[in-house]
Amino acid sequence: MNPRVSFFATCLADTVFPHIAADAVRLLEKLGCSVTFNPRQTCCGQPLANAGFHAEAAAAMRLQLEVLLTDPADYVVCPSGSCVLQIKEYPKFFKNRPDLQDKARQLGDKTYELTDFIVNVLGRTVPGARLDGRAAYHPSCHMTRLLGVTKPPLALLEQVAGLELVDFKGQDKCCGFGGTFAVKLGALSSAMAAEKVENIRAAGAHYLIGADAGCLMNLQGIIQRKRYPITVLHIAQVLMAD
Amino acid sequence: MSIKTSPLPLKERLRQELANPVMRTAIANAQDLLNAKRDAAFAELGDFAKWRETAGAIRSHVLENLDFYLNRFAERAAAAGAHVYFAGDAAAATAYGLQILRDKKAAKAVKSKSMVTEEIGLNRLLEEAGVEVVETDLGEYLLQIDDLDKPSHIVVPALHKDRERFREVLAAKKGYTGDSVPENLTRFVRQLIRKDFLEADVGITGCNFAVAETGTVTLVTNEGNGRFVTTVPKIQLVFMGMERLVPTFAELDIIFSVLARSAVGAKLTSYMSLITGPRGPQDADGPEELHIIIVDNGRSRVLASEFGEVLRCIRCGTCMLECPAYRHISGHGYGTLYPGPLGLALVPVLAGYEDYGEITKICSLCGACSQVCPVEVPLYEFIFEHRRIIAEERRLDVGENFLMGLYGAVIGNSKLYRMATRLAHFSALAPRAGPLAQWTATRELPAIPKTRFRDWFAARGKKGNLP
Amino acid sequence: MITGKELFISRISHGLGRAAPPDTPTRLVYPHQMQRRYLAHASTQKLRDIFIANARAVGVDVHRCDAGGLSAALLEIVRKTGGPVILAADPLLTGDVAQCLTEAFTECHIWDAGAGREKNLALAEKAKVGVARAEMALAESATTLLSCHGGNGRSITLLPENSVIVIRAETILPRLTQAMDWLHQQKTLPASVNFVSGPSSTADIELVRVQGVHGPLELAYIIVE
Repeated sequence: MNPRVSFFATCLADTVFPHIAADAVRLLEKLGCSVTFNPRQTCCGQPLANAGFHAEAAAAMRLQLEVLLTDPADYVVCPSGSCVLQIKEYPKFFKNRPDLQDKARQLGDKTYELTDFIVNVLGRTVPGARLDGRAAYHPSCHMTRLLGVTKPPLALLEQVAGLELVDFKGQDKCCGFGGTFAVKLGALSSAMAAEKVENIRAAGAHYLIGADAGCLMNLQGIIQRKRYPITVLHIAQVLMAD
Repeated sequence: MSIKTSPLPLKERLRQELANPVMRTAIANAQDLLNAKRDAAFAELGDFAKWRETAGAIRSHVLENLDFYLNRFAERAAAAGAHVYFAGDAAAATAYGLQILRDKKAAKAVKSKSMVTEEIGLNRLLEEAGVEVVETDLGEYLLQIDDLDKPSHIVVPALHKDRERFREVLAAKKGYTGDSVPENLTRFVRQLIRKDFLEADVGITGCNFAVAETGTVTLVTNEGNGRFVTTVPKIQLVFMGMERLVPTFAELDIIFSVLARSAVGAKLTSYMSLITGPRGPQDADGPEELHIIIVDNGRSRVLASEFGEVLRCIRCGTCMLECPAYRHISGHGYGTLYPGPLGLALVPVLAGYEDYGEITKICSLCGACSQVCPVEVPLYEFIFEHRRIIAEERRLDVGENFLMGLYGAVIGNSKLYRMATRLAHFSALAPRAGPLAQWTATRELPAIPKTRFRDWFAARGKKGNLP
Repeated sequence: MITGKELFISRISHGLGRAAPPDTPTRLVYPHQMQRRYLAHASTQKLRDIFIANARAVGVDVHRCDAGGLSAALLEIVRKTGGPVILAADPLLTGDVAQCLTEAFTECHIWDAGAGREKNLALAEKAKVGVARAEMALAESATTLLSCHGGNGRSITLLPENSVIVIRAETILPRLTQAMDWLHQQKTLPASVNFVSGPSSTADIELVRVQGVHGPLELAYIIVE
């Protein structure tokens, strides 16, 4: 089986964290997928939609809808639970356009978050991954509560040689990113992130691992400001580490 | 008091609350303790998903038939001997209450905590009319004597204070000379308020839920003040939000079974008082007159809107105990009588977007609240929809609208996006102002590399790896 | 008497898309009936044992006795708390029990509704112990149901510092569901029905539980078998 994957990089990984997207692509190829990337893609529109600016997000949503269904692929895979959630919600945004709603459902049905795809579609674990040290895993809110993907990242991390996963206080709590929330109510957002970082530190973690770059960027921002010796990694990077 | 609990603007309220370490510690501890107790209580009960689905179905059914059930309730309550007054707004509700007290020449009223009476500003009006009003819930009493400090949570109103603060207030206002051990503080307040219970002319309460079938009003309390207030004074006033109904006792079972568990992790509160009419002809205690004031005050507008299901709320307070934003700012940060996720979902439509739309910013859309609500109010969806309404129909913030429009235009066009992302690398040169300053005040920004993922992917055929 | 109903309710009806309330409501369908399964086939003994365990867990002092031993059980409690005692005018308590207490204590009163409010409240206020009989009890939450009317004044289990509630063992039922069934079946309800599930308490100060706020400081149950 050589599944054809159309890769949705996310605007954040494309621009700010290209290593995450690159590792995700390499990972999918390692697991036997043939991966294409349509360069016309931009952003799923979530930050705008979450802030209430649905009309302003419409052009981007229509664009992704068109672009991601263009290439002949079996699946659309994306290294971000929140972006996948947004894509799966596209039908709700096209209530007035039944034609687009149909296409949106099609797209939503074939779009998967990276770890969900690996565990539940490919049915694979990742051989050869190794990272020595204690790691704290941050479960992103949109990915877990709203998209419903909770177990796959843990299942994959448990297979990583040398990695000791540690629990920490308030592990399930929101990190405070919330898209534009992080820059609209920056002090409150930081307070939420800072508490989480202190708990991660108290658990003695060397690594902070997550599956959503937005959350990781937020927590990393605090970690770096406080100069804590905690390396922040996206799960794609961990799975490609050896 | 009304819905607004602070004269300060949003940013100032947040700054103030974030700078209050006593409150932040108290709220964080409260969240951790009560959420664990709630989870344990529901784990012991089992089938949480079924209970909340059933409770939600009951509440939704009542809202769908609210006119019918209110009608029935009024008839049955009146048949049991109560006076039932329908108050369209706060002014009507308080005017009625005031009139009764005037007619009875009441000098003192004892109150069992009621959110709706705070919403309509009852206490202030009674006091202006010369009635002494004594709040009898321990937390509310302490707030009342502390120069009318505002509640920070709907179930545990003084959550933001610690024992030292309570001791200070009692010493300053009531001559307390003991220490700050909670039991000692409580005993002191007990003997103070006991006199008030026995002397009061009027007892004023809220109503947790009313039973339409029998015209019964109910009160759930732990302290016993609810029972006192409805036993000793000769006149009783019950203020009730119009949506707080169940059809029959069978539904009361379901609602009460989830209420205390959700609120404080207890199976039931120590006392549940079911009151049907004033005292019977053979009864020596209980009120001689019972007045039930049913309050709309914007609820009918909520019911008619797309947010009607927020009226399912049973006022357990668990959504705010679950909320990671509330954790750092308490109810005071929201500046509304109903704070937290409940406040965000309810208040803009209950009392207007003009004054209250802004609080919908206080949310990272984490979805935790929706998952713990015992009656399945779609809190996340409602907050999301309020934001759409505010952005698209109300256009409150010109600067934000412009930036969002710009952002939307860029990501809506492949070419513009490619150009913009190429420039993103130079963001290191951007001034740390505006939204960026909100980030960089407390967090490092990542360095944006020169090569985007798309450049790497395009160049792959030739070379392969990113540096 | 009802005031202001028409306009108020019509506002609601209009919001719900109709001119007036329907004659009958839509049908309420319970998606589940999990509340009926709890201890559904439990024996009297099992219900009693669960009730006792749950009561003790929330700080209630629990005594057991047989039909003839109620006076002795009450005496034991009252010797510790001291008098005066106020009793509900219930057949279980008046007669032998009242006489026994009166012989042991000079002040033992029975709530006499005919004597009026002031007299009864004064007695309840001065009493150290108030004793009443529960209609039924609920095992899951260690709850007792007090039907307060006539000779069973509300104040009996409220004003005195100590509260004693007497329960017939065979009236211990699984949970709130059965109590609500019973209430639903009553042709008329007394003005006051009180569910008591523990001593008076608060956690308003730093969430530290303090027992005994405005209601009784101590609560005891006596189960008569």
